[in-house]
Amino acid sequence: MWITDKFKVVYYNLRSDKRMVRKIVFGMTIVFVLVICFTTVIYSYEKYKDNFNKKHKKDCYYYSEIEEQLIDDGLMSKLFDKSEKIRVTYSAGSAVTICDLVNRDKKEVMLAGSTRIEVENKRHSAKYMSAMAVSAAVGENVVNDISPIDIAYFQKGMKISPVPGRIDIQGNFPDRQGEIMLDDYILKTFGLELPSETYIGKTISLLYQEGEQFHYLLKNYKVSGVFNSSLLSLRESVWTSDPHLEHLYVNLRKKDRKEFKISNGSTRYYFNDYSEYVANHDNSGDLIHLDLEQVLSGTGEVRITPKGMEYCVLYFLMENVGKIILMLGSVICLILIFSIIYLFSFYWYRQKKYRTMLLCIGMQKSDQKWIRVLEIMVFILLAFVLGSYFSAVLLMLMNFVSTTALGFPIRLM
Amino acid sequence: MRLYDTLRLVKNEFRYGKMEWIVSMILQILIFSCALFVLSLALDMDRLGDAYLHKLYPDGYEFSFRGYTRDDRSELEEMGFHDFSLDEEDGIGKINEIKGLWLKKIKAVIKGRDIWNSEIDEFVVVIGLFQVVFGIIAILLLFIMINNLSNSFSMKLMRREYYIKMLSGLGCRKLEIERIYYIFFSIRNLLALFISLAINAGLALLFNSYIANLLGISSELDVMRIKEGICLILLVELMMVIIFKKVWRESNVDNG
Repeated sequence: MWITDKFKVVYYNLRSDKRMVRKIVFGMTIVFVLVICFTTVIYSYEKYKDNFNKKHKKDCYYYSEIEEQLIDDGLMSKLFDKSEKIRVTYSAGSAVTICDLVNRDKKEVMLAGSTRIEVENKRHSAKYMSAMAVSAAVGENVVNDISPIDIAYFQKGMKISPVPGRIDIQGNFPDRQGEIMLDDYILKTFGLELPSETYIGKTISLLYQEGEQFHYLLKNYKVSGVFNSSLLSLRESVWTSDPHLEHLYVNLRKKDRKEFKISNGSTRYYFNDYSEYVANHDNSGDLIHLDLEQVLSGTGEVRITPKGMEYCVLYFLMENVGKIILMLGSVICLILIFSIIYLFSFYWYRQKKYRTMLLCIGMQKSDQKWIRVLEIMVFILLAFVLGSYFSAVLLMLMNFVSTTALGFPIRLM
Repeated sequence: MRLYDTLRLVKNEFRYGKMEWIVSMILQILIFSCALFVLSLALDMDRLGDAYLHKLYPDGYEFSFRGYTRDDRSELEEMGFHDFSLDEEDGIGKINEIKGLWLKKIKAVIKGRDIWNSEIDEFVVVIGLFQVVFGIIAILLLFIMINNLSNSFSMKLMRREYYIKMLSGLGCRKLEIERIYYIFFSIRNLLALFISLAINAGLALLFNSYIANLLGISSELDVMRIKEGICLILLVELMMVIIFKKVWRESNVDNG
């Protein structure tokens, strides 16, 4: 049988049973639309979850507080060991340790109005910009004389950024004793306007006013590096009760250590994703059941931020509701495929006599198989074209609704 | 024809073309179960959401009003709000549950007013979307089922064309023959529907235990949806009669 004859037979077959053809094509179109829409929504949903993780990372972490203590040789190794154990227990991605330093005699934090930075024998006092207070980023907290100037203690091996390597720094961390690292914001606030890299390698001192006298708190520390203050915006959340806005990180000389003590601090454990937050939380059940009183009254040493709780539960719900919807979608697809097979069998049953007649007048069985395959291909082609069109329309509509109502864009692949 | 004979002929129908009616019934059960479950979710989603969120708002949800005056107090009370504080155009009030709240929000928007709570508005919108989408899916599934029913009837009548003509030749009236198939399809439909109701009850129980264990939600999906089940039985039987009449008219058995 010629191929053109086969096409002719297919054409006449389809024309002779238009109603059934419409039904089959319509059914297959729905399956195509469902498959395309489901795949796109699931793809967008996964992307959204990834972004959700990144977007809220700074708001969500566990933290354990570091109590007031003196600085000795074994302090940091003790802290590192402890934080590593907790990090492994909670499957955290990175642990950030921040220890606030205060002068042992003073017992209070330094205030901007009483602090001077001395660079090569020239003292600089803080200058405040009124605009700062209005459009301040999270780390831009030095706005008047009584703003605190926090200093953090640093030792080699400490991490200060939640995303390893995500810190914009010129020079190096203060890995050696007698070194200090500042951010560009504090330099600017104290009128050190030259390009940041100019200060690297220079010695600076920090002075504090008591009465009329200025005393050296840190004398002749070498600037090892200047980091971008945007780190604080990336790390510090406005929602947490555990803020750390240190602009100076200092590696104290051994002889200076007795002058200072650690006033407070915390080790934060940032997670790779929220499922781990939920799975590893001490009160995981209470958290998901929203028994917040129980969660907050927990006596555990490691605590979670309030936003951390909220987003954990949200993420957990998104994951589980997503699974239920996926299961429902799969069952619906199965039903539709089953229906189409049923329709096909009905379609062929209706043509049974006609096909038998074709066989009687000499058509080969192999030709008949070909005709069936061609018919199926025509159905698939028609359904694909229609399905693509309807999917595009439906996805655009869904994109509009989801973006307007939920701020969740459906990404067309 | 005596009822006993009619029932015997119906029994015969179950023996003939087993493959077709079993496949058709499995398909029907699948669609019914899925449609019922999706419908249950659509109907109860806001109640479940409310049960979950209520733990955070044990004293009720506080909503702000825009466009409502003191004169609208009774209207707000009808909606379920209490503890009002209303002034000229704005105000606040509490509501004990957020079940069906998105509908109230839509009604307010249509009237150029607004009822809002920035903390839970998104939650209410998500629930509303879920209910609409699930409701549409359930209706579409019922359409697919009606289509399958129609095909199943056609297939049956095509296969039994000679048999029906033979019965007619033996003196059976068309109405009597029709009655045989009515009973046959009714039994099939009812069987599928009852099995689906049982499956739906099982699914609802599973779902309830899943959400109770996972989220500690005390509220549950209705396991036995008697009212919806009866409505569905009536609807399907009615649809069956209409479809059957149409298929009977179009088939060769009625013409020849």
